[in-house]
Amino acid sequence: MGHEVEALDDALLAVLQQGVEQPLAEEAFNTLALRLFAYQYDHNSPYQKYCQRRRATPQTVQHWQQIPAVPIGAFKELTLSCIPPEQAEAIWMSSGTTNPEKRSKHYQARLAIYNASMLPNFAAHVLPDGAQLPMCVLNPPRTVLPNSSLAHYLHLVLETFGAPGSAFVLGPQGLEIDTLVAALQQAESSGQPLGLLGTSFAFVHALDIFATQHRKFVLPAGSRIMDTGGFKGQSRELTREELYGLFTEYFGVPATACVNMYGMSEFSSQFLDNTMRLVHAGCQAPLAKDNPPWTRTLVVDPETLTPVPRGQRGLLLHYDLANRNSVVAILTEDVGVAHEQGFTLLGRAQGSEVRGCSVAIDEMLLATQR
Amino acid sequence: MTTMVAAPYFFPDWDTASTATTCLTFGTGSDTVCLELPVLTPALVQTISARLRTAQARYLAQRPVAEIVEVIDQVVQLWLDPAYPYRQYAETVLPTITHYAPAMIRHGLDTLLQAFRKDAMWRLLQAEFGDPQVLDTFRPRPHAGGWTRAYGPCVTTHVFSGNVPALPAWSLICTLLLKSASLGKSASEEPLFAALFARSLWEVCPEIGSCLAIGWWRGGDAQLEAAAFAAADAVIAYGSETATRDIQHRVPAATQFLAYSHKLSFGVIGREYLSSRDLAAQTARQAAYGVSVFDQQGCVSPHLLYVEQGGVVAPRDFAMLLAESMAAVHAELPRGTLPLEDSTAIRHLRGAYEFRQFDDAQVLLLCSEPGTAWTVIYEDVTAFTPSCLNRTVRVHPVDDIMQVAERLVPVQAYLQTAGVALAPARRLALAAILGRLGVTRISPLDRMPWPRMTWHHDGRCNLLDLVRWTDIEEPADD
Repeated sequence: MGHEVEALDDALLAVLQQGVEQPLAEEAFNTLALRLFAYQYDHNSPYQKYCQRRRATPQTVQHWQQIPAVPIGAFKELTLSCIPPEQAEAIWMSSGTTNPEKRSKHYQARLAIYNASMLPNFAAHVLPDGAQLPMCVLNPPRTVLPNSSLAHYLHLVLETFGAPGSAFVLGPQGLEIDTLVAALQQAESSGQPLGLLGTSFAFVHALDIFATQHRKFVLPAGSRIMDTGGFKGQSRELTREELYGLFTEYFGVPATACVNMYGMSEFSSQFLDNTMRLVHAGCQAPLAKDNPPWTRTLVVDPETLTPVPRGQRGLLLHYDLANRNSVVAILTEDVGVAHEQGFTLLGRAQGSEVRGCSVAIDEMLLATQR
Repeated sequence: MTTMVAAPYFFPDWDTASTATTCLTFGTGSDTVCLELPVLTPALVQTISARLRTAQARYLAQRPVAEIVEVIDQVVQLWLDPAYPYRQYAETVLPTITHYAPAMIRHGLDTLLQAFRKDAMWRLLQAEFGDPQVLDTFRPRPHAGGWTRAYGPCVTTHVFSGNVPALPAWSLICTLLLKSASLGKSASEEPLFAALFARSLWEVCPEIGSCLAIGWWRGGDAQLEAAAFAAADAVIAYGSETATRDIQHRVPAATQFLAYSHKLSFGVIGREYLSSRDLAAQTARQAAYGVSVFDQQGCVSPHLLYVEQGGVVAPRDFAMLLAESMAAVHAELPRGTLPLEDSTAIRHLRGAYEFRQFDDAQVLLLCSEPGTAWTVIYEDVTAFTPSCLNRTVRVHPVDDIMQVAERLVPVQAYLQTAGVALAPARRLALAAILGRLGVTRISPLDRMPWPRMTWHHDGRCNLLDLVRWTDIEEPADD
């Protein structure tokens, strides 16, 4: 590793290690963003070409908003990596099922950066009270899905924060419903709060099973749920209200203890609901996804790629400084609205290709049920 | 807020004042159009349909077809006059409702309506009936002997689509020529034009006008549609395959049903039209126009162009000429403003191809900047990838134009218009191949958006498919 990138990583890790409680000053964000841009411009030749076509170079770009954003689909087209791909510590692949040849690939040069971004962010949004809970993960372990950023994420959460009794309840054979039931019953009888984590759709499968079995649980107060991913393209679509209503009905977990995590394999940071954080801090604010300090989100008009007036729908353009090895600025296909703090995710722009972790897991579950 | 000057529905003999209304709102901010529409009920639909049936028997059934043609022609002429108030109103609000640019609306109304003039109607009647008077009376039947008379449906229910304004007029005119009354369900995307057209017809001729009713309900409303379909002798539906198939299941078995669902059209350019730069540029202009009209939203709009190798101008260079022409058309007939989802689709498609061309010299992305007004993608692949539309067109090279057939097989079921630039002999040879595949229309590139009224729409007769015949056999000793 060259001296330049070592210094860059040190600066980046220093920011990540400050955690999510302290905002990152605009100037500090800008400085680091521009350093990362210069590094990526120099070491990622397709991105360099892309920037040159827009007359954007480290000399001309003075502000992070001027950093050319790559449309998220580019990760399916070519290698966007500053290091030789074979040197990457991990490759996150999208679970896009429409064309398996065209899965997006995101090369993680150093997992330490990814981990340093995700852990404090998770803790602040799901464990703001510092609770130590056993956790049930409705997702396979990392060993089953080595290229899934979500599998890594949940694995690391379980390893780092999971109290004894934590378990994966989705294996190669599908949902291990007996293990899940045992954990839920154990929590009910012992009074020890439980954490449930997984894709929105894995939860729906579990809820479907419990509905046919007429089985409901009342988890102890302090229990919480983090779900991720949406339902687009699935056989069944639920709104957030419907899903969280079912969580309350079947698990006894109120919506105030439910957090949705919005993440994509093309990013190294995630955006989580402010719900539990606000409750813990005793604050009131509209429901929104929080930007960890090392990220910024612009809501832009896809026609002009400039920000829309606040409150208006637009496409989400995320700047993620933890994306050290790929590109900092990515234009998503997700529609949202900006808030004073954070943003609301409204869903995918219609007509775009089905993607997201939920899809693969759902298919696996369906396949094992057949 | 644009004030409403004409109601976006038309119900003769029915005072809607006491009926509950609902509002369809289009546009954003200061550029908003609000269309207030009466909320229909199954009982109202039944009443309206019954009145249409009575009016049809009293008026339309009694009129010679020639008079009906005259009345329609008068209406079309009014609409062709830029000063006609309904037209001015349509020009004012349709851009907000449809997202099309004002210039596109003006050009579209002019060209579409021009195609519905008297001479075109007569050509259609003659092409399909030979002797159009069979619609008025029993006429001697050539070759077969005896006498025959054609009866159209008494009442037709139309389910319109909203992609191209003024298109509902075609459907209404066809059934009027058959002396059928019409109940039109206008599209949520563009509920206005059909109602304005019916209203102007009523103003020109109240008797024939009273045989039309145009309203709106949310497409797929089972109860309303059950009433509307039960009351009709024929149902004509425009829309997606899913939507039209769904309607088909709900139309009574004895009722005639015609569906016009989504189709795929494409262009074919032979090397003879690439034999000089001037000719290639002229062909590119025609293709660009064909792609750009109504922002590619028509079923007749090309998704992609096959360009033959071996001319003086190579397919890749043709793509560049096409890009120049797309820009020129945009200057004259600007692309409309797009909803967020549609610009997003173009943005991401461009993003993918921009990176793809770094790795692949066979790929070329040419596009408007900074907006998404037009996009040309040159790519040497055989797959037929439907366009995300709004002036996004792919150019694919082919060694020999006769080879396009194999590329079209996967989408065979959806094929409709082929715009061709080929010398007559090769055009005929290719037509034989395309016709066999299922293509129903072969036209010059710049005529793609404007089918003639006489076209066998999606391969069928526009009028004959809806009529029933009564024959008189003469006694043997006559």
